[in-house]
Amino acid sequence: MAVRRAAFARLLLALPLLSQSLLSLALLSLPLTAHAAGALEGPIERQATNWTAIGMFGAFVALTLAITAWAARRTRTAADFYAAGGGIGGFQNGLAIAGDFMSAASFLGISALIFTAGFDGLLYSVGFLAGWPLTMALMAERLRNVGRYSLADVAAFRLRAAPVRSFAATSSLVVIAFYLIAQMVGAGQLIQLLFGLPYAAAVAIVGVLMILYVSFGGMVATTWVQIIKAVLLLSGATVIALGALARFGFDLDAVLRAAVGTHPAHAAILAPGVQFKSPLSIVSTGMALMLGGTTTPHVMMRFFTVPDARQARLSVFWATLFIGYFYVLTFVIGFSAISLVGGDTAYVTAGKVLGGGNMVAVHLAHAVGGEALKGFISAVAFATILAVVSGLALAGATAVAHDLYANVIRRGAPEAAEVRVGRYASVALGLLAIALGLVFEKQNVAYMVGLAAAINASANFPVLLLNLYWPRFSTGGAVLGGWTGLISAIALTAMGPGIWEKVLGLAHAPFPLESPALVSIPLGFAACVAGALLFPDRAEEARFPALFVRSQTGIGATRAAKH
Amino acid sequence: MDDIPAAARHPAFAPLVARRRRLSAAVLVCVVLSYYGFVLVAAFAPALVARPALGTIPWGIVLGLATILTAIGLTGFYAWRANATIDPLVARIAADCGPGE
Repeated sequence: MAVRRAAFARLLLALPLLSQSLLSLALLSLPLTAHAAGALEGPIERQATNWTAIGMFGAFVALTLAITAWAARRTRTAADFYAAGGGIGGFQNGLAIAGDFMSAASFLGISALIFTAGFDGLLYSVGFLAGWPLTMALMAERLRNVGRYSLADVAAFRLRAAPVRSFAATSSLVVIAFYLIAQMVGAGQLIQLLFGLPYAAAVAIVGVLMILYVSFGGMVATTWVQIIKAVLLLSGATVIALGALARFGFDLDAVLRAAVGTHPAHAAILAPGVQFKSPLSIVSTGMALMLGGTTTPHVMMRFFTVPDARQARLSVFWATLFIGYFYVLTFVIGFSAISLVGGDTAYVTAGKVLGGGNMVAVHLAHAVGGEALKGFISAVAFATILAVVSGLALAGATAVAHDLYANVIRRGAPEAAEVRVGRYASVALGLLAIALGLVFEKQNVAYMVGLAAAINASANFPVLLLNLYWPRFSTGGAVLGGWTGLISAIALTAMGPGIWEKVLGLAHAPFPLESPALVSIPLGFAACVAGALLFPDRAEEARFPALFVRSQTGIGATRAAKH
Repeated sequence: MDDIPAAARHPAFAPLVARRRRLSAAVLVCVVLSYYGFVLVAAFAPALVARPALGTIPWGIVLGLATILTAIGLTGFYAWRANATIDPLVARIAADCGPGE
């Protein structure tokens, strides 16, 4: 057993290096990607300074910094920093989850995708939303009952802390990095085209504000930033959608008739196929969105901010309601924009949208509400990115400080030291985010978000699920399955047409699908099962009843978390 | 199997597990049927999806919006049933076994 353990430990040490080199390969090749996913891409032209937008954004920043100052005085313990002391209500947390979820890629990206591809854009919204009933039925209550600050807490309840936390922290950081790149690049491009600021300055503003919110205000400030932003985004999108519908006498049929008449693809926009070229691509992307969209570390972490399972359940319901409503709005915005923006030469000339393809929702705001609404929507879009980036940074800081520092590197570190490391980690993540934003300026944002969801569904989701539901699941299964899912998702993406053909210029990609999910998710699950059967652990199996009872009732031995 | 918590032997525990399992299974079956039904129809029967349902509005859009409403309805249903049937059982167990920490 000892020999096998040692060999296993060496395997564990080798894996991060391998995955890092694969990751850097994938990252290096991505900036050249010409993958046409529609969101936040296309040529960006700097626009004249919009003072309405700057004024409104300034008000948002002033308000959120005041909240951060207030939150900073209430953030002392680790529980405050990571989980707002567990004192957030279900409705507030639902709004904050909606805030995490309704990123700029959702708002600008999906409405832009519907604008260019019609029905295929709707597939994205439906897929992201379908993850919520699944999360409700399998995850939310149990995570709240078992975990404390991070997803790794739930796994370490019965599995060996060091290898499981090392894996969970690494894969969380990988997923977070992909989301961060997407948001930072989106922020830079948006601000450049909305506010008339240079790209580098825009990225730096986002990074610095994020550092202030997270390092001083922790989860309390991050939560309130999310809530305010969610309310602003929902109101702004409602106004645009109602304004657009009013142009058509509130007749959805008239919206679609006008869209079919204006769009160059005509009636093809009412069916799948403009964006997705093969049926299996639809199924694979659909799987990634449903299984990987809602189970990301920064969203799951929000379940630890509520006091009990009942509030966790209510959070999911409110979040689903708000997000679902928001997707209906983006649907109306996207289809209305086809005729109202696409048919107006003030916004679109020779098939090119002024300021880049992502400006569709902003142009529609201008078309229905003039400069004032455009300024408001611009400020809201910026606030959206800022809030999502803060949530991501906090999840990353938790992975570093709680999982790696306090439970692997320096076990039993005093709580004050752990919180201090968390604050340093959020500063480091902010600087990293700025750097990534500058390096990947030309990167396609929607592609990164889809990839992040696929990686998350292949690496984190199987470990999370099997740990909660399969008594014989073991550390060996978590490590083998988790790393297999992580590496295969990244490798298959690199071998897919998006990188192999379009970036590397090679013929015939070895892997035919844009999204690796259809293969990498089953592979991750299979490796988890194989690992658990190859490396069984009686002691871990014996701790399953304690985990099970606690996941059902919230009552149980916290001492098990120290194993 | 030496550290099975006392809560596991509480008379309300088995009903709690059974009810939660039934509720979760019902929600899971519904979401998988509605979502993968939608995805598979969109992937393999695009002509069906393009057929008009209400005026110009095609079946695909009707189904897509219906799937969104189904997802909201399912989370609402789960929260409503769990509040009514699961929480009282958890409260009974907690009252007898304590928070246990």
